[in-house]
Amino acid sequence: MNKKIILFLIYCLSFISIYSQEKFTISGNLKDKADGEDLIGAAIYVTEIKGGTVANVYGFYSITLPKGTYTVTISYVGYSPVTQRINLNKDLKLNLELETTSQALEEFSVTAKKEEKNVTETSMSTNNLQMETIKKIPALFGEVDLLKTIQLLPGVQSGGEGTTGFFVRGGGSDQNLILLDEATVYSPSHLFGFFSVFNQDAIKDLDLYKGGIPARYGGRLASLLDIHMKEGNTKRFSTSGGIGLISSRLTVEGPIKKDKSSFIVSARRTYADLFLKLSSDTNINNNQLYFYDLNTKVNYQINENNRLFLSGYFGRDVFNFGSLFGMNWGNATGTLRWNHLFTNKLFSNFTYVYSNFDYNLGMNEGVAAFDWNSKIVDQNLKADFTYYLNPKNTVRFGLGTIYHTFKPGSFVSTNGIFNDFILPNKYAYEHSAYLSNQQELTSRISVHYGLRASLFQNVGTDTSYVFDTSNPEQYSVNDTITQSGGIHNSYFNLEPRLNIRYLINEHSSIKATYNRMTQYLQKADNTIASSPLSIWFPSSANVKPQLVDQVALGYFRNLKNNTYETSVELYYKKMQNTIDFRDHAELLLNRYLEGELRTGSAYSYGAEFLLKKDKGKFTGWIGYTYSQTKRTIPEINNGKSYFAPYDRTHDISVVGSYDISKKFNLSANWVFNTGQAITVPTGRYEYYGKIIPVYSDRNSERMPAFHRFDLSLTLYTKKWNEKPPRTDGKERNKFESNWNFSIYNVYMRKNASSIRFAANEDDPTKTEAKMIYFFSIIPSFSYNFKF
Amino acid sequence: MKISIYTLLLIILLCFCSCEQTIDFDLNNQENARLVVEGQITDQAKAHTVKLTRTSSYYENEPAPTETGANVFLFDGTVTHTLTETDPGIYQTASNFKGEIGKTYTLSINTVNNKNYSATSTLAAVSTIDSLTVSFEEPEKGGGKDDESYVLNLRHYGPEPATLGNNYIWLISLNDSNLTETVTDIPFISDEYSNGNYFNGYTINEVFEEDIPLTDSLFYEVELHSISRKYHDFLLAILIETEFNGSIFSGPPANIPSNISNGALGFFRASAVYTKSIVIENPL
Repeated sequence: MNKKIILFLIYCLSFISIYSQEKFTISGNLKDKADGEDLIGAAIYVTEIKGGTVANVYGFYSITLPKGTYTVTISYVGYSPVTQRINLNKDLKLNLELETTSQALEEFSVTAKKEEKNVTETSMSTNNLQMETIKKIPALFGEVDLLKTIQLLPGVQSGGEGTTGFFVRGGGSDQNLILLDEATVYSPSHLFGFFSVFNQDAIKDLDLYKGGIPARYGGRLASLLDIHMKEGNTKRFSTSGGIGLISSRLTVEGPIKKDKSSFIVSARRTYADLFLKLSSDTNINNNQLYFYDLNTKVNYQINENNRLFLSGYFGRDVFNFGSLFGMNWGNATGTLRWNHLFTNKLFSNFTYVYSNFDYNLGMNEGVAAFDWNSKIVDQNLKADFTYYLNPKNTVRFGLGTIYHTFKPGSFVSTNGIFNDFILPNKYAYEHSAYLSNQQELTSRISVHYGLRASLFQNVGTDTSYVFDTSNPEQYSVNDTITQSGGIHNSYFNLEPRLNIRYLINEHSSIKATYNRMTQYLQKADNTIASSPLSIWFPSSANVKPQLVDQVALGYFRNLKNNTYETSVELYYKKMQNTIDFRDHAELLLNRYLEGELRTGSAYSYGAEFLLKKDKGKFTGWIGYTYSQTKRTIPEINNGKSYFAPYDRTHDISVVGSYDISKKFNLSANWVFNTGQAITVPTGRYEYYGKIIPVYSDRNSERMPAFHRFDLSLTLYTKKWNEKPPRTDGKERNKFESNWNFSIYNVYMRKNASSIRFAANEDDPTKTEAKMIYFFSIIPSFSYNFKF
Repeated sequence: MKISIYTLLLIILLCFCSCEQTIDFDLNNQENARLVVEGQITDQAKAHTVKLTRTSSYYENEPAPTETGANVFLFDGTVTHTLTETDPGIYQTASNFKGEIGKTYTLSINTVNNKNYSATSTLAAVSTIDSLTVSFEEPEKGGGKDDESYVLNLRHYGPEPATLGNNYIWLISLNDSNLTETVTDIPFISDEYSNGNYFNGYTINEVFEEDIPLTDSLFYEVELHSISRKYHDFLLAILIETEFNGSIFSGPPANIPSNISNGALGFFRASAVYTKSIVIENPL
């Protein structure tokens, strides 16, 4: 195995040959002129070499060229491109600030620079969404929701009405790596999944990788959702916020030292419970029901070569039913990053991340009083390097280690008859190292290849069990093994990643990708809803890490001068050590949780079609996905393969946004998908006065199809910079605002969130099917402002 | 315990604007009628009953078809007792039959279509009840019930041996009306949570004010039965499948386990019983 790595390294480095020609490097940072935000993914195009590079997530770029004179164009969607003539006879720093396109310029920019990025970039199966796009999409209760927006992309399935849990290409909801400024967010939803934890005012943009995940990321099988928080305005103080039907938001940002450092603090809180207080009924006004989010970030440009970022996220849901029962859960993350330029070609970033997810609930009165806690804590140290070798090769390498602490659950009876029940902590290391190169082989072919090595180690004190698996319905414990410390179990995996792009012509390309991913921790959850009471548990002697191999092939074509983007992607995934749970599994507070698992394999394949329009007054996309996901687990469903609960044969999303004028925007979306696969009864019997269903094969029937249409209208006040300058020469008031009115589920479709088969309440001998649905039509509004 | 947490989660969610509606949902194939056994014997001397029925299609909405003409035997390790069919599908032991603690009983059934089924259960010892109390209590705050409504609370005080493997159910009657008429009304507890703890006023039954009989005295009779862990799991599964199924917090629907061989459904249990009663005069 080691030999292979060495060979790979030699191959990777073989292109480093010595050129006789003198070479120099242009590097710098790209920012927004108005607020100093880094322009992630801005393109640097050098006409003479018909190529270029893109800015990384810190807005940094670097390109090395032979001595000479060049025309360099910097462009970014929604911004006016900047073109400069450069006489390159020494290393050059070129920091640029781009201006957003005003309406008048936009028509010009269409002809100025072609944006064919989706065709030319090497990666496929990825989507980038700007917060501005997300904000226009009609949302439930007017709460702009990043996770519900990505569910509108092909290949991404929703868990059902109102849920933010998402499922990518046949992967489970715990197989998505959700990073907020590099910190893992374990529970991305509030209120059982109705809202996501990401506050629209604090987020800049997101990248979703459904396949071809770069070697620098790992740890989850299905996807990477990389969310970037804003840095904070480095030019001036700015306040923005909003008042909605269920929550209010306020964000303050500004320079600490102009153009050097800035901060942002963004908060959101729901206030439904404040209305409860108005009630005179003590049963109601004693209750608390709210959630909040707090995002904070500070960044400091020490000098040209060093930059520091400190970001934090704190969010929590709180429910208190009088003094009787209470529960709360939430995430807390902190990220400290240090960007350092060793040379103008070697960019590095050192990161320390602390991430915590916990929940607790308690009953405060009576003999059944208890207090229940569970948490997972991650500490992550990593170093990432990017070496901008030449315009044709960008090498990335790095190292990282995560220290996981699992506290699966402690149940303390405060004055009751229950025994205290404390599950021992578990500890594990997840180490990784990677090396990748993005290489232009010819003008048509570019490749991005890499290898990630991951090592997982169960460490520290531990109590584990050996199970007798002779009865597949219920395992019994054969032996208990206690560990006093040290490394007592480890797994090593090599994860190759490959992307290839073949450019047919300027407007079309074919791409292919292969990736292997490994997942060492998973969520004990057999429900489709985002229950906060889920437990993350690690791989161990009993639980092998889950593996996936994915191949995908895509055709990308842009039409009408890149006004329309189209793509077709086909994928096939084979998953190993797939986990499901035995019938009537007890997942909570179960020291023998591992004995509830049954493992097997799964596959998923699909075809994804996307037609997208990003320019002009009318923007939006149509996505269609055909897919199938099945699991085969010997002990479940008599060993016959069955549909995963989130399998959806057909999935259609239509998203449209129309700027009627500078003052009005009308947006709409329509979604349709095949009903969820469910298990239904085929018979019934009586036992001791109760009618009990007999079920057939697992997930062999479907719920009715899900479809819904939403609308929203946004009214903008004039932007300050579009008004004529004041006659007295003073600066204009920078206040701008908008009203958003939305209607969720316009045609009042009753979409089943679940179907249950049960006896009629009035006549228990009669059995019937009942559908539970959440939302009929929901109108809402919000008012947003910025100054 | 876990159940009550799910209930609360469900309440929170239901408050949050969910609606339920009966729908037509076609169910394709009809289940082959399988044998269903409902049998229990105890260490009390009486005629013990084994009820045999068949499964039917899900929307049948008729009482379960009875299984008549079967030969039913009970073997206690040395002696085989024959059960006689007293009513269609109802098979009974002799009226002086009495199970013994520690013995393993095997129930054998031979149906008219000549299929054989069997089940075994070991009769475990039961703990005792020191005392019962009955009190009127305000319902727990925030539970959504009216402020004015009171609850008649029946509490159990008694020891729980410190050895594992003691699981219990309570069968309760009030003024001769059975409060545990259906299987989902039967309170049960597993040793995992209660082992070695004194039952210090453990609530085993609640009667809401509007359901309290308007009589001069209230007479509660409580039977504490020992059960196997398997029967506990069976009861829990029934509760999950019939009372909590279909919520977005429940796992995938699954068949209820059974301790009967050859694909039959239901359960045969042997239990030891401890009986205690309490009378409340002029309760209101």
